[in-house]
Amino acid sequence: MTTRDGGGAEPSDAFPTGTPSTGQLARGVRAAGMQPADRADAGAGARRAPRRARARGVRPRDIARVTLVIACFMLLILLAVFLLAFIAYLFASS
Amino acid sequence: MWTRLRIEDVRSIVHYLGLFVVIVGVLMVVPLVVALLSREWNPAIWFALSLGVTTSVGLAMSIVRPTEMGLTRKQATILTGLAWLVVAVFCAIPSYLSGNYLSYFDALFNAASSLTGTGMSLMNSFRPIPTSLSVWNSMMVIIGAQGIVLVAMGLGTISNLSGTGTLFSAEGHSDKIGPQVADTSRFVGIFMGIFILVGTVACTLILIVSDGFTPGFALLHGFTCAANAVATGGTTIMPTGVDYYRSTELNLVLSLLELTGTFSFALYFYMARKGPREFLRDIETRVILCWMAVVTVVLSIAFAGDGRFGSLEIFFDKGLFNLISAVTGTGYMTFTSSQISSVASSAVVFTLILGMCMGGATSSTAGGFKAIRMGLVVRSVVSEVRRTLMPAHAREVDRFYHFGEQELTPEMSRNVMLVIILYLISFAIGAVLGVAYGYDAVSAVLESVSCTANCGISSGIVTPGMPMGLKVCYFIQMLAGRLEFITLLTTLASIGSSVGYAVESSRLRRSIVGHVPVEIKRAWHGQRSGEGARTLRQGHGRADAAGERVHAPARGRRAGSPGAAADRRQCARGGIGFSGRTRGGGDDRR
Repeated sequence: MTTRDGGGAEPSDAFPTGTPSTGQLARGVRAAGMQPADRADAGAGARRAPRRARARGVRPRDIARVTLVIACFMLLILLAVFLLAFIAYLFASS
Repeated sequence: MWTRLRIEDVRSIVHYLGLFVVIVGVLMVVPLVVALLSREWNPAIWFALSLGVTTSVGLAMSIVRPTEMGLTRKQATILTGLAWLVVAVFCAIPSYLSGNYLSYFDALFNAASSLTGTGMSLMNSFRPIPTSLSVWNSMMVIIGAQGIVLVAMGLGTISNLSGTGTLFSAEGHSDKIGPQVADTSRFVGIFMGIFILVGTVACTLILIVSDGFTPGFALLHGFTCAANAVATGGTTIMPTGVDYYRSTELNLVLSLLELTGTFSFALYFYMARKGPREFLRDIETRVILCWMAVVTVVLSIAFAGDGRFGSLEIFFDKGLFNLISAVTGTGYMTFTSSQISSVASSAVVFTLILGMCMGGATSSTAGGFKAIRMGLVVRSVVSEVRRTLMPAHAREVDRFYHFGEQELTPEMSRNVMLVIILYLISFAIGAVLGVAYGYDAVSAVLESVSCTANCGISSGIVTPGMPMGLKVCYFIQMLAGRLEFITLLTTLASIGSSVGYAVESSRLRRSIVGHVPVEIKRAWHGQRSGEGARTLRQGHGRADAAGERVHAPARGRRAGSPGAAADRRQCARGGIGFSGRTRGGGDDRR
């Protein structure tokens, strides 16, 4: 087997025992209805549960949740900066 | 050896540059519509003219067909470097037509400033700019914050090509968050859009409720402020900047938006996949938080010791807001330029400089040399000290957390140091030039750091009347800082070597050299009379199929003759006898 960097390697070096062949992976990718550009990222997820792997992207609900979390984080950071500045100012002016 | 551009490279670069220019032209439809809706007839004419010129030139450039689809690494890097310059050239047309700038270069400076998120302006007018022009400025800031190439990818123009990874990294992005680069651009666009939308609503409400703006006017100002805060651009509709509003609530909302823009958008996406905990685990977040804590403490001490800004209220209004603006690279100021240069103490100005130079996270809208580089430098130093204390045969692997565990390799450390050194050199060059033109040293340093870190806080040096040399210097600093130097240096080196080769191999040069007397040539080469006669019977180089200069037999000898074979042997030994550049890139003229 030839690795991507051109060097030679035994199959056992490249993959753990029991890993499906390239053909099996390709069939998994085809079964998932993926485009060729998606194949590189398909990997093991495509082998076990191809459709789920494709659906593991970010949903609008996740984006809304993260936006809320980010807003909370930023508010906390701003409060921490204000508190630190206040303490440092009082300490320095005393 | 400098590799020069071949005709295939030029064709590809011109073709894709044309596509970028067409995109800019199409985007000009938005301010044109705004101008028509708000009955600004003159700006409508400016935008119609600019749209026509930009789209025509773009289409003409894109007609040049590349010999093969896709981009090589060299083409992608040069394309990115040139894209920023060429896009700025076309974005400046409406501003120039508005008559608010003394020259076209001033308008170009303004466009580059908006695109890079610096926010400095050379506008020669104290009147509020038209609504459509303001929208166009905000659009430039948003496009630049996301990245010109990334916007083009997000619109699907070049997303299916090979070489997009290099385009992506050449623009200063290092975190690919989706399976394809185009996914990254879409997710960055989605998050930026959400923040701008929420910010616009908040700012508009504040301006209506507390400042008494009319809804339409408040919406325009709210959008401009929010977009510039998220994109860390720092421009406003009013020439006096954000200080025009004098609203504490607005300043608080803008500070929050600035903070969202300074952290990594890729990290936000990663959080959506892996959970909120990733935010605090990331090395960039930790470095930014530590850096903020340090500069906050330094600024507090500086303000406490400064009698002119003595009260706590002024400290929060003038101090902290400007500090957050500096650390996030936004450039909003509640100071006036004259207050920075004459009223604020050196300690306050120094703290602002300190805050600006690092910038935000990679894949954020902020400039500077980025938090991850700062973090990796610290890790490298700690690792080196620890390694020195270890036994000689011990080997330690240093790791850091950035989208998962990563190993800190020596190559990574070298690259990080290289970019930081380039930033420091740029800071120094701008500062020295400012001092040479007669400006105060602290102000010159502030302006230089502000331009290179794409921040925009100004001590008043950047004005329409500043010397042309400084304008050019700051212009280059803004672009170099945005592209993180290597892309711009690669572009300049490649174009320079290609032009140099074209000049060297031109007929004109050969005819001039051919007419130079032999004695002068001997003197030039430092040879005595009669020595090196063969050197001067040199043949001219020619280009081989790979584009490299090969050695031609001396004039008067046929190729394959014994004399020519002797020449080749001498060349192989590194001796003289031939003109032109050797394969190894050295000049064999001794």
